[in-house]
Amino acid sequence: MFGFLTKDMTISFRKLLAVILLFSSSFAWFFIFFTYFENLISPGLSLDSFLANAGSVIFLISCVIFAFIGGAIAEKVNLRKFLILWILFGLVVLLPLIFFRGDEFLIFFAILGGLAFGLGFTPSLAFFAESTTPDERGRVAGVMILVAFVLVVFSSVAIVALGLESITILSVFVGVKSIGFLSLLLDPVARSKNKAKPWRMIFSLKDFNYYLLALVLFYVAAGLVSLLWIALPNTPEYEAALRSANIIRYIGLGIFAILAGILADRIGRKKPIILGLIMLGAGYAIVGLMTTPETYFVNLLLSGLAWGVIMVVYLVVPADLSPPGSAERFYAIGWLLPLMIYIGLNGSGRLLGFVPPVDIFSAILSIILFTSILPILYAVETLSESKIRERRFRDYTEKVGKIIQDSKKPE
Amino acid sequence: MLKGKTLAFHSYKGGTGKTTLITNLAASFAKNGKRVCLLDFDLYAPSLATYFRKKPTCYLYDVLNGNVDISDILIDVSSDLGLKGKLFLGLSSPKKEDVQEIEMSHDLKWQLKAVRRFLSAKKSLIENYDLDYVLLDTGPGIRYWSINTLATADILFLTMKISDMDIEGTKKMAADIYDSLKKFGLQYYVILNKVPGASPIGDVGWEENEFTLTEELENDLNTKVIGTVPCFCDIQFNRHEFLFSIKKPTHLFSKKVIELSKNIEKIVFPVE
Repeated sequence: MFGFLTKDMTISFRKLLAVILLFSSSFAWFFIFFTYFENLISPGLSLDSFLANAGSVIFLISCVIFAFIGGAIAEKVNLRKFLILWILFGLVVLLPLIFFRGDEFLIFFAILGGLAFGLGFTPSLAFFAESTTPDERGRVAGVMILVAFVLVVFSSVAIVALGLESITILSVFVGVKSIGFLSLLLDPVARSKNKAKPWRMIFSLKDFNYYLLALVLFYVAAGLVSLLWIALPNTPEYEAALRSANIIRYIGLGIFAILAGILADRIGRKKPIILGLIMLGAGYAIVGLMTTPETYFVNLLLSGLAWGVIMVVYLVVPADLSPPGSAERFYAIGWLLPLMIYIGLNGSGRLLGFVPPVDIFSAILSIILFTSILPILYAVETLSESKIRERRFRDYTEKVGKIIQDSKKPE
Repeated sequence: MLKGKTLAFHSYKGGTGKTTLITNLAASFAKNGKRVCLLDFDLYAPSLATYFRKKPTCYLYDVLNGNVDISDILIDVSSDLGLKGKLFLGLSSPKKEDVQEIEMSHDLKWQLKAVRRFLSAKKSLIENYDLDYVLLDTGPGIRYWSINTLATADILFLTMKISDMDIEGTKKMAADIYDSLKKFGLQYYVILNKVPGASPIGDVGWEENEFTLTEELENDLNTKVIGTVPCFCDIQFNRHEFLFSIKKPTHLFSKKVIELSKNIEKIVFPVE
């Protein structure tokens, strides 16, 4: 059934499952924590918006900081034991919420949440990088993102269906986080013994910097976008557009993650990134030209699809460029540093109550996104030409083979 | 079911002696009364026009383009060579601009269309000329027209030298292309060519290695080595080797070609 995805993959099924479950469980945990954080801290009450925003920003910042720390620790210790401790910590870290709730604990739990996610995130990505070959990496990353969002959707449905009680939400958190243990049962999760490259060497890699610059610009746009939506009129039409788009965009994000993965393994990484950036740029251009619930809906949809593409390809590129033993550092810089920019823009804008004019802002966003394509054009393709050619010829052989087979059928 | 079988000769690298082998085999078959057509499908670096010193007005490329019928390009060389059977040639243009046109100006759609054209041309060729064999000389390595030629063959003969580069490359090609074509019915076999032994460097201990290497190759490629042809300096460095097996039938090379043609015949027509 999934032959189109797993065809020619050299990774064993057990390892594939281990890689997917380790990443998807932690990424889904991150997403639902970010979404239901407020309900956990103050169940049934609406938090002060400044405090809620501050909580989100602190959570994201601590995710990034602990990811750097976690990556540095994981380089020196037994990865398997480190990941077991990380998952265990993630299981118990929120349990005190049963006893300690309220605004005063918000910052404390935001930091703990960041610690529970960030610490093992780059090592789990390094496990993905070291377990996959370049020509299967895109598809594996696509499945990782799809599974993560399937978990997010199921968790959200479960939480809504069972009620927004702390105990329900906490059970879902424990359930999602425990999935990570399965990967440790399936695989020894050992890692390369190579010494990590110095940080300055990573920063001096020209091609990595081109990809990084494009992602930074993407996050600048994404950060500004979150401010843009504050400026939209608070009418039932816009709310309806948001509700319906949200459902479709998560499904679309998963589908596009898979498509982007397949494309990344077939035609290389650059074209899918450009496609994602153009999609997002077009989405904002539409809203900039005409701000209506319909264009808002289209924008949300396009941005969901674009996020799917960008997330997948940027899971792949650091793995392609990192030498053995250095993947954590590449992910820390290539994934988490740009995220800081997003957090900075989003957080400071929200905390300061900045309300931008929609049309001008959308036009600026489009320009930023189209500009972000430039560094990608200069960057080297990280999937080697010979791999692209090999796959092209293999696909072509299949096509010709089918023509020959058909020609042999009796007329 | 068509009587005539299509055999393609392919190699990972150039210089494996593919063309020398296929021309000599074609002549050997025809000498034994078979009806053979030899087509030069090394479209990117054709050599049969030079080998046979022929300059036709139209070429295989014109057939693939749908401009002419395949019968318009065939050259019958049987009587020139005094063969009992028939040997027809279908040549490719060695002109630089023609080669460039094939290489540069055709997209996938054209390639697939050309394959369909060739399939129907091949069918009519076998029927109208009552052929026993259609032999396809392919370009080395993996390119669109190598794949097309291999795919249209019934049996593929992989010609290789015993160098590590050739062996490793062939293994990779087997994994990338041949195995895909196998599921569509293609069979493939290995011919080891230019094997040290007949050359002055005769004391390389080849006999001992031969068994191990052949066995290793058969295991790695999951097929059979159906012939071993030694390297002969008088062929390798001849300014214009031309159908040695016909001109010098007592030469060891000619004997090896005959042996090979018999082995091939056993594979192609096992009942006869």
